[in-house]
Amino acid sequence: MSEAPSKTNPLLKVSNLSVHFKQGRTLFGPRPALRAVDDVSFDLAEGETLSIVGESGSGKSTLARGVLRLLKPTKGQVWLEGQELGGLSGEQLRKARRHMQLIFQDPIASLSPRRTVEQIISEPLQTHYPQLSGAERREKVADIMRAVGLLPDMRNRYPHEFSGGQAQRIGIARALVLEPRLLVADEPVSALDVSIQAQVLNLLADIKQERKVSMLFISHDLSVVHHISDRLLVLYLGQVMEIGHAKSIYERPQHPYTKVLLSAVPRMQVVGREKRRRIHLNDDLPSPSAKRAGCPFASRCPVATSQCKAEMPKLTDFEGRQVACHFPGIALEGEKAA
Amino acid sequence: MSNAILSLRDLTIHFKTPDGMVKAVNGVTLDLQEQEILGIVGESGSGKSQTWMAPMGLLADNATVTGQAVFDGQNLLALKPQELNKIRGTKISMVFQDPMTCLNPYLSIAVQMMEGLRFHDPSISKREAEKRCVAMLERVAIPDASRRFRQYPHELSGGMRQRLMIAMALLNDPQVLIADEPTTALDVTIQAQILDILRELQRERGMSIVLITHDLGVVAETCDRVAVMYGGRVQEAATAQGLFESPQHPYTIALMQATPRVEADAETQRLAAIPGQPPNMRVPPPGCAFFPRCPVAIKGTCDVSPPPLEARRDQHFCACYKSDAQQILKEAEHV
Repeated sequence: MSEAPSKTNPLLKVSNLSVHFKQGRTLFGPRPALRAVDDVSFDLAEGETLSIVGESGSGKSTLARGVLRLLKPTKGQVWLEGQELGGLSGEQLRKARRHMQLIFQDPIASLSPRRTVEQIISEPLQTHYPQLSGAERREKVADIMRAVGLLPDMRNRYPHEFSGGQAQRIGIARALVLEPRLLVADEPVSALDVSIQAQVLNLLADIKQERKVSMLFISHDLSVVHHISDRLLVLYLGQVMEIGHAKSIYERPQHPYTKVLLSAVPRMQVVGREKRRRIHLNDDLPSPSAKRAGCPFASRCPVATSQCKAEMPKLTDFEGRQVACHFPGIALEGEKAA
Repeated sequence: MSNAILSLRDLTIHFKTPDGMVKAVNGVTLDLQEQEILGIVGESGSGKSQTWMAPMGLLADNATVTGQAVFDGQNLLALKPQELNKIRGTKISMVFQDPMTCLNPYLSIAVQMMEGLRFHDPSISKREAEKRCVAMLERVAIPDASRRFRQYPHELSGGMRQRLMIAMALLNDPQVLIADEPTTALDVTIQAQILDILRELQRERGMSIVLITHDLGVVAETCDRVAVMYGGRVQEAATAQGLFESPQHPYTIALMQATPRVEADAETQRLAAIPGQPPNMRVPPPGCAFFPRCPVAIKGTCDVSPPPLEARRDQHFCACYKSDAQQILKEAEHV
């Protein structure tokens, strides 16, 4: 790959990861596989937050599950702290899992309704650290509850007694109690109201600072991502369109898809809204199982050429980041020339 | 000044539940003007949807409604269902968040669209109805409209289904369209398209739109006027420009500061979260619903009785005892 190895080894290295789903057969032979994630590579440094953004169906969650090996990748490798996860036995993989934990989107549905907060948070401890005594476990649970802004007095309550924001804190506590190196947050604030969403985002920002944990933050919401990311990965139909430092991508997006996405985000600014340009796409994401030779975005891209439809552009260095486009930085219609 | 087309007068909606009365809406007085897009912003439980379900007669059976919703000289809340049927779907239409719960999966789009049209005007011939439906589909930018017209809902993408809902709602050329979170389930690229279509249609047809949303960005992009709801009351109402340039109510200010923005400075990573939780509407606070979370609340005043919605300036109304909340919070922000 064109990515140069960093000075220190990255905490997480994903190379050429693909997750394809078989889709059964028709009378005339097998259906083409659904390419949910296709040849994705990236690094994640210690303490860094990389956000994965894209529309629904872009493969964000599948990518996360492939990285965590909750799904078996079709191709490619994932290294966590230098250890290749694909080469591990079941027992070794289970051991490695304590270093990588997941936070889910639906805070209530991801907690067992019949277990108390204490049972929910201490279960990972029982699995990974069976040698701990009951008292030690209780202490760890109380510590982590305080760290996420829950009162340890609430330990004997059940999930339904909590609001969405508090339930998400329980989910975060459960993920953090093992002191993982890698936290994968899959749309962790999408189900929350704005006032509560801000609380949870700030909590995640604090955790990142205090615990030096690395985070993969998956979201469809570019405004949310803006407040939490160091780096940004823009995914489209399972392929990386643009990856680089979040600030520079927000300021100067180079891939047409990134430009379209950013232009579509509503701004809290009434004056001048008539003149603000929102680039329309011709309808929704195409099917990820459709056969395509060229760039996945070519069918909706406002500046696609015949080359784009025939040939997939490689992810190449451009303006301090990597862009997969034959014409990186190309101005879209109506856009001010940079 | 334009005239009100739909006027809510002291609307209250309470729901009887096994765990007690839920006081969802508590005295909303609000006018929808002719030819405007009125945004209703609020978080879950603020009463924003129920407020507009009431005039459509769509509240659950356990609801008790008082007050008035005046349209065309009639109080809609007092009408019998048969009488209301002459108004809803023709003069006032509604679009919901999830198109699939409104569409019948067993019936073709053609059947479902024409039903609404011919129910209200049986004199229309089938051919004429088809023509109008296909033209409407084309108007909401559904490509290949005459083919889509013959298909079933599951064959359409999410964005197309929502455009279909808008097309169906507009078939009878209503004067009022109530859109309840019409873009919440959609991706941003599709959301931008639907908001643009709504804005164009409003201008083209001179109708009024109520746009209910939790997203301040959507309001800023689309609406002429805005009402901010919290705890079942309107806390602030103003022109969109007035609200975003000079928010008055502490809740509005807090909500704006808590909202992540793409255009913000990337260095400012922390958001100003609003502490605490929204009120439990089974036992709403006796005074201002925002009192327990408000940074400038006055004990002994704000927690006694809810503040009335009063004019602060031309077309700008605010329900807060603290008239200088804006200055205080602005200064605090810069410290």
